Amino acid sequence: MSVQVDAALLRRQGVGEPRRRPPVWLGLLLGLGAIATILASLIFSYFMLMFHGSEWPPDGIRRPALGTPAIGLSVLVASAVPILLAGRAIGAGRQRDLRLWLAAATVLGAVVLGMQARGYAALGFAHDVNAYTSLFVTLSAFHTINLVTALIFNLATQARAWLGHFSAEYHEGVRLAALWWYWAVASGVVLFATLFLGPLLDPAVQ
Amino acid sequence: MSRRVGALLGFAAAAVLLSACGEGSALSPKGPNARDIAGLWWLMFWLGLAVYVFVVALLLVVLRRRGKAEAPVEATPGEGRALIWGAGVGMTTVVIIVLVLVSYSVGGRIYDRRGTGGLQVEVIGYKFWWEVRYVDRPGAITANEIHIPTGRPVDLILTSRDVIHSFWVPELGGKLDLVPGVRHALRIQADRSGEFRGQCAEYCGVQHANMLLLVVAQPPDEFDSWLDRQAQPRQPPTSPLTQRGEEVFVRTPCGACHRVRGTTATADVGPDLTHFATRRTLGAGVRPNTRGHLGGWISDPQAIKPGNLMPPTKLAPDELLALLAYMESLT
Amino acid sequence: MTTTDDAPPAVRSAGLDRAWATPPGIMGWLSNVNHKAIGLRFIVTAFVFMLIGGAQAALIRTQLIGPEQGFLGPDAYNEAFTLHGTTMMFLFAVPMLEGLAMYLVPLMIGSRDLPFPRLNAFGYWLFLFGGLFLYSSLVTGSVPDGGWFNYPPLSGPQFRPDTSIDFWLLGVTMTEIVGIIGALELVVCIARHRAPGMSLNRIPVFVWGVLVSSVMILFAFPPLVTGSLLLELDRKIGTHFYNSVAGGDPILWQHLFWIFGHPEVYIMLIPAVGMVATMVPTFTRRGIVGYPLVVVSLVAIGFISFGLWVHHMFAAGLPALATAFFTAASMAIAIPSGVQIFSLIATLWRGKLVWSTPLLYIVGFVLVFVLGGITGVMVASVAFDWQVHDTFFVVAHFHYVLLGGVVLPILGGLHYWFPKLTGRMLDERLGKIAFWLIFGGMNLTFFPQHILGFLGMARRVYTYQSGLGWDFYNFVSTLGTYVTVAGFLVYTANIAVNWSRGRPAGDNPWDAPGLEWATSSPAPPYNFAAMPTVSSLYPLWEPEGAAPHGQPGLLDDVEGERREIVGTTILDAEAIEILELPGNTLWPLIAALAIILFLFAVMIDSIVLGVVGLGAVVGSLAGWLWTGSEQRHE
Repeated sequence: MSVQVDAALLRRQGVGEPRRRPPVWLGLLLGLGAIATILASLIFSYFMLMFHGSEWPPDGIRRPALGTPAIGLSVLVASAVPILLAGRAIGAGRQRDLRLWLAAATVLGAVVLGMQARGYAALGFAHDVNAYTSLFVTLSAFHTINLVTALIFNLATQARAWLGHFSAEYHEGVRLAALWWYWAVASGVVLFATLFLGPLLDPAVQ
Repeated sequence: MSRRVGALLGFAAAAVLLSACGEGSALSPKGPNARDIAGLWWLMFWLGLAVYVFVVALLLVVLRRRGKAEAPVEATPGEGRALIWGAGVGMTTVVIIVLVLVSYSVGGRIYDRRGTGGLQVEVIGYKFWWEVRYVDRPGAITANEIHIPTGRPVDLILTSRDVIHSFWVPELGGKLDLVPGVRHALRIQADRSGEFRGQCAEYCGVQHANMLLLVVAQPPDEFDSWLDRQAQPRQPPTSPLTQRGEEVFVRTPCGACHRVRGTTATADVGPDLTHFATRRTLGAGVRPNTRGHLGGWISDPQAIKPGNLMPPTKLAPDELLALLAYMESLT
Repeated sequence: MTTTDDAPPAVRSAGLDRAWATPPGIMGWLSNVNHKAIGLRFIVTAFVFMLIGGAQAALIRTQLIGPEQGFLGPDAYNEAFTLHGTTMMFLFAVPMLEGLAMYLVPLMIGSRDLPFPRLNAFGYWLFLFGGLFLYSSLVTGSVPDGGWFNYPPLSGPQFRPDTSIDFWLLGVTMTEIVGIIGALELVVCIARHRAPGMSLNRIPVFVWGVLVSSVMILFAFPPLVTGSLLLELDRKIGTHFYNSVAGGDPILWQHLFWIFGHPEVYIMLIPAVGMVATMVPTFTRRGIVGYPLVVVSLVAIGFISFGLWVHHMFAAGLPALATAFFTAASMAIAIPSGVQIFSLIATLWRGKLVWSTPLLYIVGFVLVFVLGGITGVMVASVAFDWQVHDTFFVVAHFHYVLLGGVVLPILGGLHYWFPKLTGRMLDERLGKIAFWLIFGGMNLTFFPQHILGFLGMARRVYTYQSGLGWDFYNFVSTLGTYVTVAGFLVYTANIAVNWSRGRPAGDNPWDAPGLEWATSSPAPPYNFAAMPTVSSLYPLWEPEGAAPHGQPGLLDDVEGERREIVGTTILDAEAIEILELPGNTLWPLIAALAIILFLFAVMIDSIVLGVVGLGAVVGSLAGWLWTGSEQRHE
């Protein structure tokens, strides 16, 4: 008994009632899984070196203050909201709202990037002083790169939105860009926790 | 025919096993740790052999079968369960549980033997030699040859000044890495006198192959007098030739890297040579310590151990002769 | 029951031929994105790297044929063993298995292509250029010599201030990225593009193996990418991740490397074992015994393998309690491996054996891999490993499991699927000669090395002194190498001679049950004229197990010039959509070239060139993504 499949039915179903996320969604998810494992490896490295040493940060380096980065983190988390709303907007066919919310997210993302740039400048140490500074700068840079790529993806999606590529029935590009944005937000939260809260776990930390 | 093949294989196997237990082998243990590990090995060997013979025998039986020629078909669900669960899961699990337990027991015994009450010897790894310092006798510094008293635990404190090395003397036990920035303790003990060969067991660069060492186990009183000797500065040279030799040593590049306690040569870039003549080898085991080999080594160590960190030294023939006489006097 | 060789020739639709065609000439070759073309390129390139790695092995063993030989000086020897290990692990084993997977998986599951063809093509170019990049170190004379696991501080900025290790780090990272890309694509293909009706319990074991190892790759390769990045940063811009003087730790590298390195060997083993389990029914005329257990065991091996890595670091000075856990885990993995072996034996028992070269390789696999597995359980014991770690005992162990568990199945698989790839049969007599030379040679090479380990011979030594009792075993081992090399030469000759002149094969020369044999040899670019549907694990052995070959059916026509594949659900493979795939394009090649440009900029420390390179990468990715991605049917 072989399986019966109706090709005509399949062709019609491609439009109007997508029953599953398309395979490229799974592909992006898996790709993000690999990148998340890079993040996990970086965090592993941080904690291993932190617990390995006797003082953290070593050599009298001062830990950067928590305040401004916390504000930046809040802006980053807040930027997830317009992305969510952008997805809802195009799902209901509201093209103008889509463009609006995507632009809002871009602005917030750019603010975070600006704050990060100022943060790097005000760090008070360079990457090559000791393992702590190397880790701090590298982990921060990892997030910056993720945020920049999310922004580029976002801008490209906005361009496509202006060109009218998306519809209520088909807007996979928006969903993919949104997923990447959420990844940038989530990785930011995790990295913030590692860099600013992680040291509190080590009793040897001053 | 197959009986003859079997006998031949058996003979070959026995010859192989015997030679595996030759001198210098991990299977001819000279100390308690090595003995425990060798015991563990033999248990695993017989178990492993039994499993392998079982699998091979099963395979041979299976491969000789003549099945019925019929249309190809899917396997019946549930068939082969006995073999897969019994042998694949059951037998394997039993063997593994035994091995894990025995392994924990042996490993635990070796760990429990560690302590801080033994003779403390610092071993510091360099490319491509070993510095040896007796902690309780601060003056006793040597290289590449570690003397220990028989029947007494010795705690080696291992570290490195450059890359990762690993300390390994098969007849006395397992190995442990020398890691820069860390100090690891490895306890060894020899039951009887002898000279036990060792070598670096973590790839450390171009001359990793020639970073050898010797552990010399001596009866306690012999060891004590050896250690006393090592802690002393050098005996002042008495003959004109050896006095000339010392002058050559201090003046030429030798003194820039090597220390001879009691002279003005106090550098510690290379091995301490205060009692060099008592050592059986030179160059970290690469050549026997004889006049001829030493002359060749001093003139061009790169020809013998290319890539090691000692440069050639060009000396006039009479300078070299004096130097060699002096080196032989450093007992 | 008639075999499909008697069936009428496949219906080829002119529309399909047009839609899936590749233009002739060099531009067509460069822009080809079809999974069979790309998979074949992976296979051939990996095969060439295997021969190169084998030549390096011959050089190494020749130097060790006797004590204090002068054939290779220490520098050349250290470079040789570094390149040997690196080539075999990064440029041969995984790319070969991924290439076989890329070629065969869509055929085996009844799909027309992999879901992201341009990504696939990009993967090949990056693999080729990454391998050439690594080997360009020979041209510059700055050849990596840190061993295939490249431990700092030896490989760090202080002791290797030259560019040698950078070639290794960057080249290997490229191959890691290729692995991740390939894995990603294979998972999506297996999850969402199986033939309608191919539910989970009807997926061939090789495909399961590819699925498990691909998921493993996604989590195992990134730690090495991370570790390599950190070491490259130490070397290039002065960070201190591995510098113990400044708060870093060389042991961090070991953790990151082996968190990759241990799963890596199972990433290689699992598809190979899957290949064996997929081939064996053809030669026993009976399905694999215990299929559900076999599949569960593969998954179990995949999981457990992530918890073993510290067994490579038992001599590094870690605490006792930590190492004890890894002993138990490392031994426990033998249990699902045991299931694989005994399922195979049970299958051989119940079936009627058809002796042929692939079956020889299958039997060879059992004999060699089991021995390696047994010594593996031995070295899992911490105390024992303290003696044999970093000695020739371990070298013997891993060559037994790799040659037995990975290479023999690959050689058997290439022989078995050669007709599907080329339309021609390999010569059986040459095949058997090659097998016996390789099998005998490798045992002769590696068995004596167990003993050398006990006798005190450490790894990675360019020479040894006489009088230690090592001479005889080294001599025998080297002779064994020459026998093995002869075997590989015969094997290669077999391929070379029969590639275009062998006996024509027909669709299903082995009367095998898998879907890949339901189409012509080699398959047309679109694999199946009509998409097959499946109601059995062995479709071609069931009376109506697959869609009738060569008759009209699902997607046998084409709308416009579209390349269409079917999308199905993950669990039950219910057909739910039709997807369009992109056609031939040069963007993947351009993107790969841009990346290599960027790498060279890093090597020569040129910021200007680096910026240009990065711009080229971004630009080519933009061009790629803009020119149409996978689209739903309108």
